[in-house]
Amino acid sequence: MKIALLFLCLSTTALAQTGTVNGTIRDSLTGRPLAGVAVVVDYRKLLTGTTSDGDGHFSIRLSLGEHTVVVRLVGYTPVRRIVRVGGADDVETLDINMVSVASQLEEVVVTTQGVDEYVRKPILGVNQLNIATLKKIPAALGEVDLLRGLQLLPGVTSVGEASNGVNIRGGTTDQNLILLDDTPIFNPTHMFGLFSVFPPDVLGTVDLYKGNVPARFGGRAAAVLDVTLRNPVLDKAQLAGGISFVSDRITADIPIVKGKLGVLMAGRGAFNDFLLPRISDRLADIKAKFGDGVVKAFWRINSRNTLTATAYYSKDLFQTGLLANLPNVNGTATRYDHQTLNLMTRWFRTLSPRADLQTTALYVHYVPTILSPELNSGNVVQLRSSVLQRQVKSALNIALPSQKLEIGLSGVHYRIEPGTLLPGGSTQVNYITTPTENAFELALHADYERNMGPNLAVSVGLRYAQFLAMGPSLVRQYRPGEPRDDVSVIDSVRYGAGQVSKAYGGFEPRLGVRYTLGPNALLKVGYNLMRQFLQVVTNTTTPLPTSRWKTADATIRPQVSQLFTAGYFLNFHNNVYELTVEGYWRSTQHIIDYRPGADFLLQPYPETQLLQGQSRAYGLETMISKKKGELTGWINYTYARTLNQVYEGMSVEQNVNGGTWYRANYDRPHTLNASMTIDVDKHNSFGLTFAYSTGRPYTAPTGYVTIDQQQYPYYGERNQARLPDYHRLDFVWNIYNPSMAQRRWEGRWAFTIYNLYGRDNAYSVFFKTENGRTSAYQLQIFAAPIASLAYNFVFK
Amino acid sequence: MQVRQYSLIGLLGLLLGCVSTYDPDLALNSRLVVVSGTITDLADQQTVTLNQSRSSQDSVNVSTPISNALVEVIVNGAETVLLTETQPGTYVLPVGFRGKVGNTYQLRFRTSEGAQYASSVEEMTTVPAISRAYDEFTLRGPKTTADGLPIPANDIYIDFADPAATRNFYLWRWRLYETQAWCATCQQGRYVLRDIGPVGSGPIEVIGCVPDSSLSVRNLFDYTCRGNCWDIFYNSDIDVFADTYTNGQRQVGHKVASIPVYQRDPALIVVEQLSLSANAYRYYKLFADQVQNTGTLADAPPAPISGNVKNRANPAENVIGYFAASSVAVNRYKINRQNVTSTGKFQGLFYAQNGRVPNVEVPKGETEYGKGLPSALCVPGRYRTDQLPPGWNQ
Repeated sequence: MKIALLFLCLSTTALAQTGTVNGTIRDSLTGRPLAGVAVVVDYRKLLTGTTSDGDGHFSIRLSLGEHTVVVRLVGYTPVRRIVRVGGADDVETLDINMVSVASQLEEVVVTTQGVDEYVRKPILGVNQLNIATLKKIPAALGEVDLLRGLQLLPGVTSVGEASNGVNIRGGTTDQNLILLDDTPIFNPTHMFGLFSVFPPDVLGTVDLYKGNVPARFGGRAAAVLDVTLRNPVLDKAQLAGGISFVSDRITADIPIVKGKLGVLMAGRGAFNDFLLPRISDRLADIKAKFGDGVVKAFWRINSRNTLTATAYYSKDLFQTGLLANLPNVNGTATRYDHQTLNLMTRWFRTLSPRADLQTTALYVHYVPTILSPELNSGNVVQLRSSVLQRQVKSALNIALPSQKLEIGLSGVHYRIEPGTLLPGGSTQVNYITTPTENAFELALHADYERNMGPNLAVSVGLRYAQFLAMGPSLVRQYRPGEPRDDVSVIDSVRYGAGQVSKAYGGFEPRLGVRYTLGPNALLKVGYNLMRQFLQVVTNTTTPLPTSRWKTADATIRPQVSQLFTAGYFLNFHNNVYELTVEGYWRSTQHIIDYRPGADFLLQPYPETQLLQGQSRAYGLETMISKKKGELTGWINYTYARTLNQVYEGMSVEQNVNGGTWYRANYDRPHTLNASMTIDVDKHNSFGLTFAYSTGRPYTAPTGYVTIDQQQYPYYGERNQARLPDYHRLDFVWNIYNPSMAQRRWEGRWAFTIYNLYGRDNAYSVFFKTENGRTSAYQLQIFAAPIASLAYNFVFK
Repeated sequence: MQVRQYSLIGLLGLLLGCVSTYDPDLALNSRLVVVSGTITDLADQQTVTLNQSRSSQDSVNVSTPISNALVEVIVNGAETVLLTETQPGTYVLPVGFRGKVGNTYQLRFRTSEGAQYASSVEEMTTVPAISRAYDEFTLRGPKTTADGLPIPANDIYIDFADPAATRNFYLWRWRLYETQAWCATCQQGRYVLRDIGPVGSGPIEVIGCVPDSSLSVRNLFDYTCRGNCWDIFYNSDIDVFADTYTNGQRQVGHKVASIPVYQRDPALIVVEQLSLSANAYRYYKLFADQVQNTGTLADAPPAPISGNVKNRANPAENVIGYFAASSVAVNRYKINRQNVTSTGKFQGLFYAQNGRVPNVEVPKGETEYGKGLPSALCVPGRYRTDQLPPGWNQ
């Protein structure tokens, strides 16, 4: 009896201490309920679980307290949620929308969670940057910045603060394909590299492919940064925004037909430069404005079809004394004005539970302009250029148990206007234009992924790309071995509209193999070949927003890059820590370099200014991350080298450093990055990031010459010197919802100190002849601690 | 708004950049022949200078004149004109030699060691006249050093009409005449000048600074000029222009100089407009981009540049400098400085040059050279003249 009583008490207690969690699991895109989803609760390391029924419903009884619920289904990104069962017989609702990964052969996994999933993919060198993490780490001047965040990952570097893009595993900035909702971004930064163009409040996923690149991507030689914007919220209106020293931001989610049709609008603007002259007369010449905006609409037509449309617009106006003047035009200043309009529409059709079809059409028009105001006249001379890309692509995805297949095709039309000088009302400048370039890039691809037994998985991709340079054009032929100039032309052929002046093509194999070494460790190897037909041609350290884009042609051959990678991955301490070690070796043919004094402005024959050579890059990347707990973060060390060789002939104009291997502008052997976030409580988090890298190479004089009593530097060798080492520590204190008064209003303050200990990092070292002698200087950007405060809010 | 204004100061760092001097550790190793010379159609004496610039770990730059070379200019591929060495490394064409538009010129020389060099053949082309010169005052003029602050200046602009029939390449040179009131400075000494004949009008004997040990070692005495005196300043920036975008159009507002407001007195600037060949333009443009147009956010990478002079036995030897031929159009423009509006202090040319105010001698009383304060002689040279510059009284 005693025993029975005791049992009764126990069971009563047990019954009194449970609640119920139930909910519905749906496909985030189609809204279709998902059956058979595994719902797993990690309750004191004892796995409890259930599966969803035919209507996507599940119900599970849980003890009081907090639980981590993980839902998994093949073909979908696992979702991890924390639920709190507050009291006995509580019924908590947990509705989950799962993101389909059918359209991509590798899972998109949030870095701080679900570690093992990312490690288990055969694909190598994929970094998913978690947007929530990005928002927690310190940001320069309070502007959450994707490209700066990426530079904390191994293998991603730049030439410095004012760098117009990033260098990934030894590639130039234009060897990265940067996609924003499938549309290419030709200029990834605002204000000459200081801020990136991605709207921080509406970022969805960010995938960086720096190793294995799936065959559905092509056209660039080094890496792919695939950024998607989040879909509009379909069930309730929502307003978010923010204010920082630099910009003001607002985002609105407007459901038009609840659950079916919604629109997302986001805008950001930085127009504070009018204040500059008030601070000091010295700043009167500076202009710096930028803005970007997004409208994204999502329409769930029916259970099988959805339509997504994105429009993105970005504009910059920038003027400082730090930009070189437009040569040979009598102007009083130089202004850069560049804008882009990116449009995308995607039709997603579910053919069967295992197959879907995605068809996308996109249009991108990037228009950079250099403006040169004339003296004592309201007139502004403009040098306008543009890049137009139109593309249609379609992909069929089939997901079978332990196999996935994607087959697709794509067609791109490029139209490049390399430059037109528009005199406006000027009587001193002529209208000059350069021939428009037209080209097609057609591609077929297939990606296939398969698990072969418990330990082995492979992903195989094959892409065939065909490039067609089209007329109308006048194609010159040059005498081989001689410097390409007006003198060495031996023939020229005129091609009419619609005629192919030059064709290039080839297969691009992609391979990834994963071999599991045990429950927590595995090895991966990969191989990639990629071709690049469109590149930026500039001889500056980092491309200008106005730098010229150039398609391959009869003289300029496409760049071809091969990458070999191998990596070791280990999870330890209950998946709290992860260790990755990755090595790579990359070889690129037909890289672009420049003759001394190369000038591409309004140049009808840019091949006369170019040299082509080869590049090799290799590196070892190591990283340890702590992915769970109050303290999360990572530390990584990378050893990497990038060397180029250019030799087209023996004259000074035909080679670099006599044809020997020389350091690329962004060759920085040692890099150490560390990032740490401490979530103190619900209201406070602190973040620290530290970045160290070897200084980048620059060209220092190898001697001096005296001409007419003035001393000038002489440069005999390229990139033989290095800037001082770069290092910096940043700090942020995030304060969430300081007052809990309004639950619909979520606010966050971010107090940031960039460059905490005020390191004078050199952006460049330059030599200038003044007053008869040559002096050496360093140019610094952000050379002091910069404190800033930003406020963000969400109103639901 | 206040907060934002304050915070924008943070933004300045990145917009303006911040320039400071840098001490590079350079591995210097070069030995280069340097040639300089431009044949013009001016009546001035035409010179060519040859020297050797050496840089090594021990010495940053040693420039040695190339003496005893056999230097000649070939006119129209036929006539050979021999140059004579007047100073070590400086070779002059015969007095009265003037270039002529349409002629071609080539420089050849053989060093005493026997190395033979020759330039490309340069044709002298016409240059249009400068139709107008004018100036505008600016508070934010040039910086004397890249890490300095802009100083008030008069920007000098010119207009000219580019000829439509030809491709034209321009180079500008200028020299500036500023009145100079102070002609001598003596350190730990006194300036002595003795009248031989009648005081003020007769012949004089200039003794110069005579040491006076009763003065401190750092004592400086300054002496006013005895007559009119002008200091001459030359351009150090390379200013080139091509008519690629502007062929046949009247060019307005080409800034050729930015003259600091050394003093409120008027000054005279002599602007010379030169015509270059396409190759010479390319050379000067590249040279300018490497030595003076640096320090931007996106500098062009420096690279070895070669001029138009080649070693005949070893074409791979890089010879620096350009031998050019050019017609010259001259414009003399008086900067009256009436538009200098700044309330800033302009303490005169002496202050601008020396960074201090003149220190007038305290007379010792009567000496063996007479009594009172002497005035100093204006000693003419490359940087000073006592002759009224042509155009001064225009």
